[in-house]
Amino acid sequence: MTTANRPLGLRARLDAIFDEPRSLRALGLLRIFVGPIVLLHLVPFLEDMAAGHYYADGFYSPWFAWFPEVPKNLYFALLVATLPAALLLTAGLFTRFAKVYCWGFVTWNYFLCQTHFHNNRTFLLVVLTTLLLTPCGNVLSLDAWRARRRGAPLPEVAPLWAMYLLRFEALAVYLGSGGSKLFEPDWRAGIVTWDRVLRYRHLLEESIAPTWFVELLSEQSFHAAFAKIAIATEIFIALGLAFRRTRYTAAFVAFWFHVVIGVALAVQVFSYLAVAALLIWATPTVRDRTLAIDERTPQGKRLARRIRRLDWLARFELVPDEGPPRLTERDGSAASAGSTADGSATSAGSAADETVHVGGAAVARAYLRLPLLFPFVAPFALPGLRRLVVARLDRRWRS
Amino acid sequence: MRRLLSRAFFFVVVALQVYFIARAPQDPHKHFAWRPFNESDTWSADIDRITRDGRRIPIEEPWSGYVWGELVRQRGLGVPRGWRHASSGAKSTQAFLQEALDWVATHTPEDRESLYYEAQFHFTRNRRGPYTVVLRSVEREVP
Repeated sequence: MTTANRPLGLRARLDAIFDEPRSLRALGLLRIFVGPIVLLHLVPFLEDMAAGHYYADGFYSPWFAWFPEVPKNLYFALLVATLPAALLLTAGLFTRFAKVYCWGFVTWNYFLCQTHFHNNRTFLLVVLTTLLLTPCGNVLSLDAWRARRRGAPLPEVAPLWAMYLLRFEALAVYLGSGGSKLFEPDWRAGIVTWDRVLRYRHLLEESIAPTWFVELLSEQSFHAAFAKIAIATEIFIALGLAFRRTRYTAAFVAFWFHVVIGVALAVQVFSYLAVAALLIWATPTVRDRTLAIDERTPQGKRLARRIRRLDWLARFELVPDEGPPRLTERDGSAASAGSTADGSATSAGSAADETVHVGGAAVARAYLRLPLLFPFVAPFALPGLRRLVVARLDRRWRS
Repeated sequence: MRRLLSRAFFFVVVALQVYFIARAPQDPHKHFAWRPFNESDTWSADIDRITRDGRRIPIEEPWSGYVWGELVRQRGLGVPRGWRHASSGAKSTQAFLQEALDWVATHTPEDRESLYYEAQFHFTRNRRGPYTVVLRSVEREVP
C-alpha cells in the first residue's frame, strides 16, 4: 500500500473536510437545478397571492413571537422578487446576491408560520444553506464566464465542509424516515400503507391501472411485504450512500425510489430536490479519468462528442489516441482496481492505483459516470449484464 | 477564526439534527425529524362557540360578521366537519386546531356573545378508533 492511498485517521479526514480545496462542480450543477425547484415550491404561496390571501389574513402559528413580519403588500413584493432571484441563481448571474436572496426569502417565509412546515421545504432550506455557504457560483455560471472574459477566472475549488454537512443531512433524511418506520409496528405490518391505499382506491380505479393491480394493492398481505421492502430500501440508501463501495448502487436505488414516490405520493418538490441532491455524492475531483479516443473514426468522433456534452461533472480528460477507446481511472475512482468482470478488456494500470479499461469496457464505464445516463445504464454494471453490454459495445467498436 | 466558525457550525448542526430526531416522539409536528408518512390518520371536528348565556352554536353559522372558513384556512381546518386524511398525523392536526381555537377567540373583537370555543376532535389512527378529544379555547373577555 502506498503512502497516497493509506487510510486516513479521523483527525486527518476532518481536516481534509474543512481545509482541503475540492471541486465545486457538483454544487454548481446542484445550484442550476435548485433555481426551478425554488420556483416550484413557491407555487402555493403565489396561488394564495393570486387569490388575494397571505398567511396572516387568518389563523397562523408563528414559530417565534419576535420573528419579523411585514405588511401584506411588502410580503407580496418580496415573494415576487424571489422569482427573478431564483432564475439568477440557476443562470449563475450575480450569484452571491441571488443565493442570499433565495435563501433569505425561503427561510424567512418558512419560519413565519408553523403551518408552512413540510419536510420537503425543510430539505430545500438545508440545500439552500449549503449553496449559501459555498462559492457555488464560481463554476457553471455566467459569473464564471464573465470572470474568464475579464482574464481573472474564479477559483473552481474550495473547502467543501458545507457539502459534507449536506451529505450528513441527506443521510439523516433517509435514516430518520426509514428508522422511524422500522420502529413503528403499524408501519412494519403494512397497516399504514394499506390504509392509505384503501382510502385512495377510488383514484386508482379511475386511473389506467389494470383491475388486477388495483386488487393486488388493496390486499393487506401485499402491504405486509411491501412495507418491509420500503423500510429496507430507505435504510439501504442511507447506508449505501455512506460507503464508497456501495455508493453507485445506493444512488441508483435512490433515484428510482424518488421517481416512484414522486409519481405515487404528494411530496411537493421533495423528489426533484432529492434527485438533484444525489449530485453531492459524486467524488469532488475533476479530470481524474483519462479517456483516450481516436476521433478520426466516426465512432470515436461520436463518443467524444457525447462525453463532452454529458460530462457535467468534468470527470474526464479526453486525449487523442489510436485504436479502441482507453479509459484510465486513477486513485479511488475505480470501484475495485483490477477486478472488472470483463478480464479480456481490462488490465492492471501502470501505476499501483490506476485501472485501465479498453474498448467496450471503457465506453460502458464512461457512460456509467455521466450523471444523465447513470440512472438508466447503472444496471448494466451488474456482472452478467456487464459482460453482455461490453461484448456488444466491443462488436460495435470493431465494426 | 473562520476555520473555527465553520467547525463550530458543522458540529452544532449535527448535534441539533440528532436532537430533533430524538425528540420527535414528543413533538406533535415532528419538526426537523424527517418522519414523512409515519401514520395513516383521519380526523373530523365538531366545533361550537359557547355563548355567555350557555348556548352552543356550531361555527358553520356565521357570527358577528365572521366566517370560520375565512378565519382559519390552513391545513384543512377551514372545513372541520367530515372525515379527512390528516396529512401530518392526527396529533399535528389536533395541535393546530387547539391553536386555531385560541387564535379565533382572541382575534374576533366584534363578537360580543361567545365565551369560548369548543371542539369535539375525532380521529382514527392506523385504522384504530375513532377516538374523541375535547379541545377548548381560552376564555374570552366579553364586555
